[in-house]
Amino acid sequence: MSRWAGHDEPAVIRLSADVARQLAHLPEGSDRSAELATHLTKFWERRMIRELVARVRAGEAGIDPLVVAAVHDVLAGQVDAEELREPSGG
Amino acid sequence: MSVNPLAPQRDLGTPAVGDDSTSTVTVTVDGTAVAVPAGTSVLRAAGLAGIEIPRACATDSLAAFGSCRLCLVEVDGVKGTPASCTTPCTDGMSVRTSTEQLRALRRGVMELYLSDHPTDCPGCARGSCDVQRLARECDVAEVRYGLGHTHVDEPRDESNPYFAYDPAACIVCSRCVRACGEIQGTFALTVQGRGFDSRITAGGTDFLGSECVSCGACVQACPTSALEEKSVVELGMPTRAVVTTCAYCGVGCSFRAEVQGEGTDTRVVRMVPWKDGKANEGHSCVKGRFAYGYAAHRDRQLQPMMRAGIDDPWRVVSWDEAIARVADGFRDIQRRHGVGAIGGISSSRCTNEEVYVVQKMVRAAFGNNNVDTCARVCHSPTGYGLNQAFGTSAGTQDFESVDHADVLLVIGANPTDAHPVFASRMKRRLRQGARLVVADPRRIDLVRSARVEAAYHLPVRPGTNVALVNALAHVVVTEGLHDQAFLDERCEGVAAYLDFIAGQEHSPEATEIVTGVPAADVRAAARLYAAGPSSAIYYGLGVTEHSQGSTMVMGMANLAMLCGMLGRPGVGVNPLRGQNNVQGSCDMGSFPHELPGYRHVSIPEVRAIYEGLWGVPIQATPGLRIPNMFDEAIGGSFVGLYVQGEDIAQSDPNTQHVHAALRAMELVVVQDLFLNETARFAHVFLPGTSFLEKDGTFTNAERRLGRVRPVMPSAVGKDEWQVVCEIATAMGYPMSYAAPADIMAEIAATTPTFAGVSHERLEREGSMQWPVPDTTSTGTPVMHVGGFVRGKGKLSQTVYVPTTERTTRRFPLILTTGRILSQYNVGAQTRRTPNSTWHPADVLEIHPSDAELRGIHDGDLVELASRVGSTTLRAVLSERMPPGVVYTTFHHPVTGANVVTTENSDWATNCPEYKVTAVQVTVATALETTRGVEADAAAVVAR
Repeated sequence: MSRWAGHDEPAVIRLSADVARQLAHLPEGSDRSAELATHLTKFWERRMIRELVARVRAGEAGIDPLVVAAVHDVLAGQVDAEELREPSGG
Repeated sequence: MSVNPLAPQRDLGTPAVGDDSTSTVTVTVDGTAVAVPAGTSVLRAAGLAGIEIPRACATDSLAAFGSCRLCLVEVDGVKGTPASCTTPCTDGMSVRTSTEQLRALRRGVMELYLSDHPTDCPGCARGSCDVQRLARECDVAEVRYGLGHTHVDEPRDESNPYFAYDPAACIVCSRCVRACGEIQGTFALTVQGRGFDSRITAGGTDFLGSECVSCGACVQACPTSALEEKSVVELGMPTRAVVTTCAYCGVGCSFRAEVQGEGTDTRVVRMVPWKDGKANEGHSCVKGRFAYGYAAHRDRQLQPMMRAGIDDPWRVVSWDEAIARVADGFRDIQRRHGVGAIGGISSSRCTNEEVYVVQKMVRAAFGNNNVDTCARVCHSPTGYGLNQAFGTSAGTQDFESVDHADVLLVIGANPTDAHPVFASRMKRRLRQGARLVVADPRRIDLVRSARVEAAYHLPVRPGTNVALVNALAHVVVTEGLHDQAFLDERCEGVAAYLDFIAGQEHSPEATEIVTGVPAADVRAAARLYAAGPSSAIYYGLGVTEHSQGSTMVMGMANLAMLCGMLGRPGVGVNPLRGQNNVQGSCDMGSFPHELPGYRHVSIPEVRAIYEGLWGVPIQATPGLRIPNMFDEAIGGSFVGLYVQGEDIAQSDPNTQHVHAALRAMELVVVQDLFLNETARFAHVFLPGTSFLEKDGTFTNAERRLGRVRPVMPSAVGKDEWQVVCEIATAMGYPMSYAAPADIMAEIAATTPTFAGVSHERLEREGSMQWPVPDTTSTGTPVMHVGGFVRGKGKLSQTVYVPTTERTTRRFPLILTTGRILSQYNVGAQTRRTPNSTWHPADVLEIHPSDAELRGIHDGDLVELASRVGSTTLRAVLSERMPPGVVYTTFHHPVTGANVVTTENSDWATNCPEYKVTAVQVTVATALETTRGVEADAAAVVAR
């Protein structure tokens, strides 16, 4: 479990929510949960994803619904393989 | 490249004519014909013909002045004896440089100079003053003027810690005044008085009390010892020199390190800017020019040390013992906690070769991808955003491009402080007539300074950059100012983006309430940018260190694409990267998800390159970023860390969290010059090498690889890359190279963008800008010419999403942070030099209205508090800050600004949101110091 000193929200919940907050504004027709799943797969270390998955599976409160959907996409392997290969540099 | 320091860098007297000259003229100088571009001065043409005409006021870094009357010539068909520096060549001109008349005139002029020059001039004696040399060149045998009024007894100005002004030696050639204006752009100097009473003055006060920024341009320009480095006076002239690259900011200036002695007895006399350096063209700033003394500071640690616990005293050990401890410790951790329980942080101040071996050690020896770099906390959004938009995570132009810009849009950057040499170039372009728009909460110096004034200052509220850039783009599109042809030919997502940005929610009128920028100013700035013809965006950490840093980078890319401002000189999207090798550190695969060259670890054919060469499997999934390392450390799954040349305990946000993470680790290894804040939590300290001891390359903000040449051998007995290789070997992965050139050869062999790079080619070419795709390429100054690296430029719909960091009744102000000229990053280097004269402590800038509400007066001790912590520092009342925003720097650990910064970060890259922290400021009663560091700073200043 990873938390910031002085902040109660687990880091994986906070960080995934940050991404979800941005991707929620993708244009209509975008597969937002797949985009988020791709982002997690592309940038997150696997123990962080495992922790997030565990929290989603446990039905933990306070997890962004888009994050929940993205976790299911990660587990189903529904990520953009082409985007994974794109350089990101950051 | 070792050069003879007794041979000054070649000076042809006047600058080369610009690129506008397309015709050539032929002149004859003393019977020698020479063809030169039309407009070339006679003085320069003579120099090109191998004929040196004596001169005092002329130098090829400054426009001709014609005041010293030494460079006189005779020209057929021209009356009198014109000054050759101010006489342009015409076709067929015939010039004589050394007739009896001319020699007599020069003798007379030199006699006058000598009559007011000390006969025992120490500068002349040691060779740093040209007066005696000029006297010999002019055949002055005697000075016929008797003793009279002189300036030899006038007091010297010793106020500046690095150089002095001696009126006795001054010939009032005005080179210094012109250098301060033309090259540096500060205009701090002038000639005071008339005739014999003329003397150089720094605005009527001494140098230290003036606007002088101590760049050294005046010292560089001075032909006598009137302005001279104190180090030369103290140590004498150098005996050899090595050209190398500065280890401070991302400009990457070339310097000639002038030294005495050999081997371990080498000591630096001075650092002289190298004229052929493409990044700086002979200019410098106070840091690179003078603040090199930290490399020999008494705080420098030269021996490996170990301790059992972080509260135990350090014990000096041998290299073998230290490396064994590191290797055994990391392996033991992995046995107990798993392969992913350890990782490394590479340095943005070390060479490309050193960084490459660190990421190789992590991937091949550690067996994971837990490697990251300090770009995480500064320009990682640049990498993300520019890759998304253009396909390359680096700036699009070279520095020279600014010389062709008509409009400069500077966003979230303070180049006069953070990239001063480039700022000087920028200001020169502005004085030539280019227009300037500055988007920054603060009224930075660039908004209005000597002969520079921004057409528009957009004081954007911290955290609202995306709303502002969207408003600019909205104006461009809705007023039909966009370049549809460019969009149609070169971009994708055009129709959807145009529809998106035309929405009324993006209008300046709608966003004004969010950004705080008057709509009329936004409209005017947008029109100015779009009109160009060549408009360039320059930006810094005021863009990236936000929760929407990556989005903002894409927003700026959108704006540039909308207006067709890409793919040619004078335009572009230009990140001003902070550190000397932060670009290189990223390039070399320091990111946990990418191998060198920004190739994702999941790509099988890329992994195969390294697996084949390295002989081990590479993990196919991303590793931990720096913030993630801290989280997992507190969680107990990441407990071993190797830190190369970074002070995360001071530089990373939410200091308490970082300290808790470091404290939670079982083995922290720090490789650095000094026992820094991070070393307080270390179990093993490995002494590092300064840039003066390194052999390798740095990559600056314009993608330019420059050579870093060793001026002296390693002071610690090993090179840093050797230490890393030995750690890897001790961990069971044999790693060795014969020389850094071999490391670069491996980089070139495995990374397409560096395929044509080698130390040998860099020795020949001087420097090269990547991509260098093969050995026939000399590099790529301007990118995306004709097409983007990714094919079509991608327009992204950059929705403004406010930061979650909000002001409250408890924390009603916004803190933003930045840098100051004289200090650098965490101050580890500059605090150990006399640069602390200018900035001995971080202060809090606060608007007078905010101060008055709180009963705060200028100089008061105040508490700066946020929801995560508090610190105390001195307040400075300043109207540069808008009401509601306060500002401080982060150069001093004793005040530790990051005690108050939070966990908020860029959504895509986790770059910390340093620029937006809700705070409160109250009068404090006592300065709380974490350690006695402030006392140390005072001691440094006193030296």
